[in-house]
Amino acid sequence: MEQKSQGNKILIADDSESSRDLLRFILQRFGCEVLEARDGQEALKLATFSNPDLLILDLNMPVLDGYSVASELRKLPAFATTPILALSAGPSETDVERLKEAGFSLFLKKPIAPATLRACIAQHLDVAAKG
Amino acid sequence: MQEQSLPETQGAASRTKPDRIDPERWLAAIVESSDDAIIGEDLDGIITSWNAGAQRIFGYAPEEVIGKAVTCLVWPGDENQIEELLTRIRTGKRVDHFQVVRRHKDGSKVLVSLSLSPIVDADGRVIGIAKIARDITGHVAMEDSLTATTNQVRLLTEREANAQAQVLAERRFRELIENAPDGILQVDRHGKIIIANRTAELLFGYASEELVGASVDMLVPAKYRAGHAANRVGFAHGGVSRPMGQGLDLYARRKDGTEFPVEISLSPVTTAGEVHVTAVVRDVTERKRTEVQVRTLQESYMAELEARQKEAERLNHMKSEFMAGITHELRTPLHTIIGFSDLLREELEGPLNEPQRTFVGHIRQDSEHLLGLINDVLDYSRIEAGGLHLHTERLSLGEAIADAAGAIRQHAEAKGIGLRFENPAEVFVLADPMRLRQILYNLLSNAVKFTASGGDVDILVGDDAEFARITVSDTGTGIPRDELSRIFDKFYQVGYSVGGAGLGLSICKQLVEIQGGSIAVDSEPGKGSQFHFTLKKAV
Repeated sequence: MEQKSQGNKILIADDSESSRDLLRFILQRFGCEVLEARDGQEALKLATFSNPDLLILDLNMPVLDGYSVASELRKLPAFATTPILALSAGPSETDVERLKEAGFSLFLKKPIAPATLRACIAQHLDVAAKG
Repeated sequence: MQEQSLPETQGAASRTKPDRIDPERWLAAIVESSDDAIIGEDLDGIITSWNAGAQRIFGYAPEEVIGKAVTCLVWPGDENQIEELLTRIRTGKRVDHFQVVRRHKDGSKVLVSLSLSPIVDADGRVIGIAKIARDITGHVAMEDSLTATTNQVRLLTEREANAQAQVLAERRFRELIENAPDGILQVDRHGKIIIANRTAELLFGYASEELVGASVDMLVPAKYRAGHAANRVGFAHGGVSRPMGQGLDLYARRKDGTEFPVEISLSPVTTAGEVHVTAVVRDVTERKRTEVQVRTLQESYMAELEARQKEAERLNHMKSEFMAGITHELRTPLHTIIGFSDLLREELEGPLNEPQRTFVGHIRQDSEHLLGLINDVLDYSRIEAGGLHLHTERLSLGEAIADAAGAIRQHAEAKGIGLRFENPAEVFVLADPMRLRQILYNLLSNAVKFTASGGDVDILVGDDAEFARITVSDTGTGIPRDELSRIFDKFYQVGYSVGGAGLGLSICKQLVEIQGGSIAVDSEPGKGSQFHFTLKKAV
């Protein structure tokens, strides 16, 4: 697993600094290159500019929310199969349809155990690599 | 002549009159010209004088009766009367106006009124009888005719009374019609008004003479006239009575051209072989207005009710949103607290010493607890707001229990509690997997929480035709009897609180019930508790 994620470029977008720090620590330990955005707009720009292997988007962000970022990216051919993970502290059950519609690959509920996060990322990078 | 004896008796009075005419001749003339019979008789009842009146009444000429007994005038069988009368006169008494039937010469009856007076001589001796008979046959006839007339009058009176009664009845009937609360019209088959009552006049604004003889069409609004005429023809040919309130929206027209809503009942009336139609017309303006008012009131009430309902829904939704927002805000920092404490415990950034490891353990555990509380509050508010959506599936109960037991096993073992699950046969249930896991986890964590080290927590499964029954049994502190009934109330905590918002069991109950099952508890303080819940079996 460590090998698979090694050198992968992951974009994280979250307006909470501590949340970004946590994710960065976990992912960097995992051998990933981490790009950070503080809102949806920034995430969209950074993504189209740097072409990440995987994205983790907070759903509630200023300027542009996670749903909009995901659906905008899915319109671009370069992001047709890129894993886009949603990460949110909000309730999830009723938003499943909306998440699918926006083009998310997976929903992660905050708080998330580092081990779980690593496993999910590895799995999606693996699927993306195979796909 | 005996006749002359009469004047003699009056002679004194006559002679006092200064008259050149001979008083006797004068008296004789009076006697002769009298309509009454003036008859002289002797005391034996022999006729001595007979005037023209007597001849006229009884039919005999003077020469036929003078010198004869008066009994020739008596109606056969009445002979005794004569003797009685004679006896009376002989004693100097008078007989006045004695009505008696006598016999005419031709044998017919003559009714006479007799007055008899004694004739006395200068010495006062009775020497004869002066009899005056007045023919009253005509009177009697008149009386008869009077009686007849009276009868006739009575008959007429009765007839009159009958007629009057009839008139009275008719008048009453007329009044009844005139004062009926509804307009009443009778129309002939050509549509001509024959009768219109007062109410109809008031209703339509026409005087009676304007209505009677006019076409009923003038009372129908122009736009309905054609249809009305056709209906009338149809009705005249075998129309049957039509009561009011047929749900027809009918309108009538007043003289001033204004229209008003009416209800009309029609009934055919055959008068002298001709079919007329009686129409009773009721002005329903007031009723319609009331109906509209009621409807308006009802609508505004419904609108208000709906608005309030919407407002309540909006507030409920707002509450849900608020709760969702709150929990989001609370979970976001918990996410990093838990995340960073996990990273510290992984010691990838360097080893921790023993106290540091304990501290981080406490941070991690209490964060977890806080997260549980937040999730409870969110769940409860959503269940209450009816905003919880179930995703029911066919599930293996054994797998669900194994899954939940796996999540709590570490915790139980750390506390020195044995967690046992026997799964004798595969049972499938219809449930939301996440919610079933939540129920099981809640009951198991409660059981572990309230059971001391060395105790046991068992999970048992049974089933019948319809339901699966799951029991979570512990050997813990148990629940006092008086608190058992309140155990599923929200915010209720049994005795000493070990933690939690007190919503866990309340949420379990709601989650079980919305999935069609039920939940119950048995407990004995000091020995342990058994929580049972049921779920519908999948086919």
